[in-house]
Amino acid sequence: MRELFTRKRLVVCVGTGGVGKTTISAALALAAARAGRRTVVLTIDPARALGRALGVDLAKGAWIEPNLYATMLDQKRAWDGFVARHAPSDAVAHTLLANPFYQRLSTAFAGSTEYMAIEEMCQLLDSGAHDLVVLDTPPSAHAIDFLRAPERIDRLLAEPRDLTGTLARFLGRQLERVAGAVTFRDIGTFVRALTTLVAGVRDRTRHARAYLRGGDAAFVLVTGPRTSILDDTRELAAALAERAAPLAAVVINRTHPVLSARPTLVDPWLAARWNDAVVEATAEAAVLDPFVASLPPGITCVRVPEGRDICSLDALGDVARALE
Amino acid sequence: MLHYVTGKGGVGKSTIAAAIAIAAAARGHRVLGIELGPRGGLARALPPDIEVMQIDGAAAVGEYLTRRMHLGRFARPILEHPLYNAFVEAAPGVRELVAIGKVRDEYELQKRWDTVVVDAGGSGHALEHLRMPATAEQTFRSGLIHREAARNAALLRDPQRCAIHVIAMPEEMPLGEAAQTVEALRTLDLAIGRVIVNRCTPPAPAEVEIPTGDPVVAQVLQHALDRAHAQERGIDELQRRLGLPVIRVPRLPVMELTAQARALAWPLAELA
Repeated sequence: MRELFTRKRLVVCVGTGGVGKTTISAALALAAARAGRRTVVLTIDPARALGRALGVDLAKGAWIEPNLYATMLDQKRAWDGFVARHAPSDAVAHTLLANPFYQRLSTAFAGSTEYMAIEEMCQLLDSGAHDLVVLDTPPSAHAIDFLRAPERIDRLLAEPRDLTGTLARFLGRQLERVAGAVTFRDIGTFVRALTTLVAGVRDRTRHARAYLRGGDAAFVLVTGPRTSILDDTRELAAALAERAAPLAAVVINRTHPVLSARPTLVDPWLAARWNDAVVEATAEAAVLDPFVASLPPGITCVRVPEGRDICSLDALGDVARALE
Repeated sequence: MLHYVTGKGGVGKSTIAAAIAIAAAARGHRVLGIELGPRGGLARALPPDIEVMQIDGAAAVGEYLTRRMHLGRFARPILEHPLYNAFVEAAPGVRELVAIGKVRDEYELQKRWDTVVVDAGGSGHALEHLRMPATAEQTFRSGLIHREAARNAALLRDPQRCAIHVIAMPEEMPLGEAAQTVEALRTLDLAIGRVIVNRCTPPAPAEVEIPTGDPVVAQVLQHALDRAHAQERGIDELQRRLGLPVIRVPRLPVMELTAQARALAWPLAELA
C-alpha cells in the first residue's frame, strides 16, 4: 500500500455504493499527505457527510492539513469551465453557455457526472500543484461507466463529419420527429458549437486515457465483507482488467474479527446481541477467506476493521493507519 | 401497482424489492421484477417462479425506438449510424428516459402483470432515472419524446398506480440519505411510497449493564448498545423531519438472499 501513496500520481477508488468509497478515498489521501506528499482528494456528490465530519465545506474546497486539499465535484461549474477552456472563441463559448440543451445537459442529465469527474481529474493533474490526486468515483451502479466517459465524449464529437448523405438526412428528420423541432434545432446548434471544440477535447480525452492507463495511475477496489458486495466486486475487477485499468489494491472495508469468547450473559438482550456478532463474524470469515485467495497475484489486499463512525479527522486517521 | 425501490448502496434494496414481489405473488398477483442495470441482486434474491428482467443501456433504446418509430428495414442502418449513436449514447439522459419508458410499457401496455417491482439502484442513480421524464418533458417541448415523457411523468406522479419506496439502514448516513431522497422526490412531486428501515435491532431495554471482564466482549456489546441507541435517535429524527412513519424490518441472521426475501415478505405484506 505504501508504494501506492509514495510512487503514484493518480489513485482512483472504485466500488459499488455503500462500501465506504468516499471514506477510503479520503483516508488514502490523508495517509499520503502524512507521508509527505502534496495530495488532493476529489470527492463526488454525496460527500457532504465527510465534509461535515471534517468540519469543512467540501463544495468550496478546503485544506484539511498542510499537505491535503479536499474538494468536491461541482457539475455545473465543471461544465462551464470545460466550455470556456475548450471553445475556440468567446462567441462559441457564449453560444454554448446560452444553449437550452446545454443548460439541461450540464445540470440535470444523468451520466454527465462521469464526464466531468474525468475533466476535473485532468485539470488537477495538469496543474502540477499536487504530487498525488486521489479520485473518488460517482456512486453509480455501473462504476465502469466512469472509465467509458472519455470514449463517450469522443463519440459525441466524432459525429458531425458524417452528417451528409441520404441516410443522415432521413435520420435527421426522424430525430426531429422524436425530439421536437425546437429542441432538435437547439441540439443542432449545440452539436455544431461543440464541433469547434473537437481538436481540444479529443486531445483531452487522449490525455485522460493516458493518465488512467499510464504507469502513474493505480486503481483501488473498495469492497465490503458480504457475499453480494463481493460478487459485484469480482465483476468490477474483471471489467477493469478488460479495460486495461491498472488494479493495484483491494480494500475490504468494515471487517470484524472472529470472536472466540463464550461469555455468560444474563440479560437476554445482550445475549442476543453477542449471538448476532458471533454469527456475523463467522459468516464473514467464511466468505472473505476464499475471496482473498481468489485475487490475482500482485494485488495488495487490506482489511480495514469496523471502527467508530467517521465523525472527525482523528477517526479518519485511524482508517488511514489501517491502510498503511 | 408499480413499485420502485431505492436507497443508499448496501442497505438491502434488492432483498426488500424481492420481498415486496414475493408478498404480491402470495396474494395471487402476476408479478414481474425489473432491474435498471445489469443483472444483480434482485435476480439473485427472487425465487425462480418470479420472472425478472434487466433494462439497461443502448439495447433497450434501440428496441424501443425501432418499435415507436416504425423503422422496419431501416432499423439496422439507423441503429448503426454514427449520428444515432451520438444522440443516444453520448447525449446523457436518453438511456435513462427510455429505461423508465420501458418500465411503463411492461406495466401499463403489456397487461401481463398486476404488480411490477423495480430495483432502481442507489438513490443517486434512481433519482437520475425518476426525474428524467419531467426534465425531458420540459427540455423537449414537442415531438415524440415530449409526449412519451409526459405520459411517464404522469405515471410516476400518480399514487394510485405508482409507489416509490426508500430503503435505509438504522445508521446515520443511510437514514440521512433516505431523508434527502424523500425530500428530492417531494420536490419532483413524485408518488412516494414508504420509508423502510432494514436490519433493525430490537430497541435496548432502559437498563442495561455491560459486564466488564473480557474487554473484547465488553467492546462488542458496547458497540451493539451504541448502535441500538443511534438507531432509535436516527429513526425518531427521520420521522420528525419527514412527518412520515417508517416501516421497521428486522435484522436477519445471515442466510441466503432468497430466504431473506421470503422472511421479509411477511412484515412488508401491507405494501403488496
